Amino acid sequence: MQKTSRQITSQTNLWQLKAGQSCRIIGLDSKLDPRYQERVLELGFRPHTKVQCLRSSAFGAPKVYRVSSSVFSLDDSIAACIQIEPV
Amino acid sequence: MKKVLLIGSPNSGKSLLFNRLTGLQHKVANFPGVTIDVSSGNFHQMPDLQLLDFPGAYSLRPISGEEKITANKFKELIAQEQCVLTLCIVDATRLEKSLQLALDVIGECQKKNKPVIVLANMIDVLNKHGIDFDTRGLQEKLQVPVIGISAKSGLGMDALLQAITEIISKPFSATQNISLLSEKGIKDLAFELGDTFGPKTDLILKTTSRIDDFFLHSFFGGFVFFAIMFVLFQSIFTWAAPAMDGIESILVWLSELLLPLISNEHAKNFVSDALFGGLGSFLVFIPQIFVLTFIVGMLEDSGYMARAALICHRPLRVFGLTGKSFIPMLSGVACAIPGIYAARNIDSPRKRFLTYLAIPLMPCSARLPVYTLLIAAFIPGSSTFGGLIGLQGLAMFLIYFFGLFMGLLVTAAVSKSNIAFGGDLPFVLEMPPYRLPSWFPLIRHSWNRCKHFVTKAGTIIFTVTVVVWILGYFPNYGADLSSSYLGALGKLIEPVFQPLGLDWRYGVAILASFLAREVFVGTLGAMFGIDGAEENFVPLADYIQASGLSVGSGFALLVFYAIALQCVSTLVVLNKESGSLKLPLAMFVSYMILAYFSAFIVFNVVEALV
Repeated sequence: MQKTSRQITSQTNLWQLKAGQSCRIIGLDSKLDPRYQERVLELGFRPHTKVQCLRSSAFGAPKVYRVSSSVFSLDDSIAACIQIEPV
Repeated sequence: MKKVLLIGSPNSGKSLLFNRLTGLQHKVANFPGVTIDVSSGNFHQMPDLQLLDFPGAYSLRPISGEEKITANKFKELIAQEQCVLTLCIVDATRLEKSLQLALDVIGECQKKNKPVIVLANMIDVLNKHGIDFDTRGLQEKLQVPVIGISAKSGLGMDALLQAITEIISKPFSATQNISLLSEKGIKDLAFELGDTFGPKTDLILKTTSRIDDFFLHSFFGGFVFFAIMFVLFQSIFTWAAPAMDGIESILVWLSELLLPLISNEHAKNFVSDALFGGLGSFLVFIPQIFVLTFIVGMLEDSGYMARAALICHRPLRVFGLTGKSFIPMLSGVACAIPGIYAARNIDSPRKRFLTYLAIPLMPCSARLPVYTLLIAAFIPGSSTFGGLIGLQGLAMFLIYFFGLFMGLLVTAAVSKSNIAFGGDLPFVLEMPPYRLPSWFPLIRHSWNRCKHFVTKAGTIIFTVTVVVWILGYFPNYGADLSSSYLGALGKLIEPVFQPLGLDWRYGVAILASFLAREVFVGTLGAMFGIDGAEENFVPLADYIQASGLSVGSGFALLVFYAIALQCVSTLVVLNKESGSLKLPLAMFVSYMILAYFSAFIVFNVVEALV
């Protein structure tokens, strides 16, 4: 089985995704600042989009995610507000 | 003069294109009084046409300070009659991300009936991976000209210049297709076009990811980070040393050549003490400023800086900061002013405020002359570990680290206090692909920084040096410094500096450097010049060694200069950027008190130990 299609079952937000795992975005948590919701959408974290976690480091350091052809680093305060489902 | 606007998302290669089109005439305008927000230059091949370069933005709906400037200025300038064309640069390798802004810009241009050209940059990168970019297809969809270019290699520049000439010579009437779309419509269209025209392959990302495996490795990543920082500080000494020796030799040669030609005794003393002693002592440090700016620029250009911000985020968060504070803080190592401007990129007002507090404690290049001088006077030039680590370089690394440590200590303390800062926002940072730095613009930038530093600091240093020399030379024509006007003033303030083991001459130098810390070196140079009997230029460190300054006082001085906020430009920029007069004033007073008491403690501890 390829790394990118590894099954995920219990994760509900992007922060829970482990390195190598992929998911699809369902939506954004309403507790996220509305201006930030805008920005997150502009960067490509849109509903129905596939996201892959490229790197997650120890000690709660920000994780690196790939969305379409761009790579972003997000910390828990924002990644935890992006709701996901398995692909 | 007719104006052309250049706009694009961050990391799209905008500045490189600006330099290419204007023949590298980038105006370095990053000091108080002159706005850094929009740079301008004339087209190299069309000198009657002005190009305006905006800071990068993701869309015209801003959330960071820098984006606000771009959005507001763009809307203001596009409405002007002289504005004849907009060039909107998009990154062809990450199309969907840059298209948001491009569509916003096209819509805005259509509303104002102004022409726009979309430039698909980094076509060379796509070509290298065997990918074709469908410029014609994108042009049909957008209904504006699209030209594939490479700002780095110069590909497509002829086509671009031809298109500019054609468009501005004819009357224009805009098609209103994009301007009619809603905000959501623009977002949807950007992603649809990104999907259709963007590269379908992972090749570029795979290369980046392979390099990241090394730089962001959970163990080696941190190690590599420290190694890079260590090399940075060692190189300030080792790479710059030959050039510094060279400048010193030139100064000695010049003084030997010039001084015998001056017959008037007082004029001779003035040239020897004030010019060579004061201003000359400062010029020696230019190579270090060049090396520092060059390496910091190289790290930024290569894409490593974003990785460094990622590595630093977690540790910096402990002190109330964010990974995004790292770039302003590291810029602060070159100079606090660009550092404060770079803090605009921190979207969270709370983190921005805390970063402002840390930046003036970063060891800026104006501190470098003071550090170098004191280290040269007190630390032996030998090396340890088989010649691998120079002791002076190590001392420099430690004093730099001390500045960083104090910065973090202050932010940690303040972030735990109940001072109001404004709201907070989470951490999102784009990881740009790695690329080889563009060497020529980088050398140009470093050179400009040196020139700017010399003209700005040189003027202040020259003025202060002349005043100090006059006060020190009269009324007894340099016969005895301690009985001069300067000596009388120095004795008056001596009690303040006595607890640090400093005599009145150092007191005067500290007082003279209240507005700009680098004046310290020039002032001491002029004073020792008057005091010393030498006819020629003598390295200042030799004078300090001979002046009987104790090791404890040397360390106390280092610590004092590491903390005190003696820079009027920083205070002015802080006032402008934060919109508060209270902040710079409070910082000036509290850092001065902190500097004095820290120096006092260090003096007593070192004196007790030695």
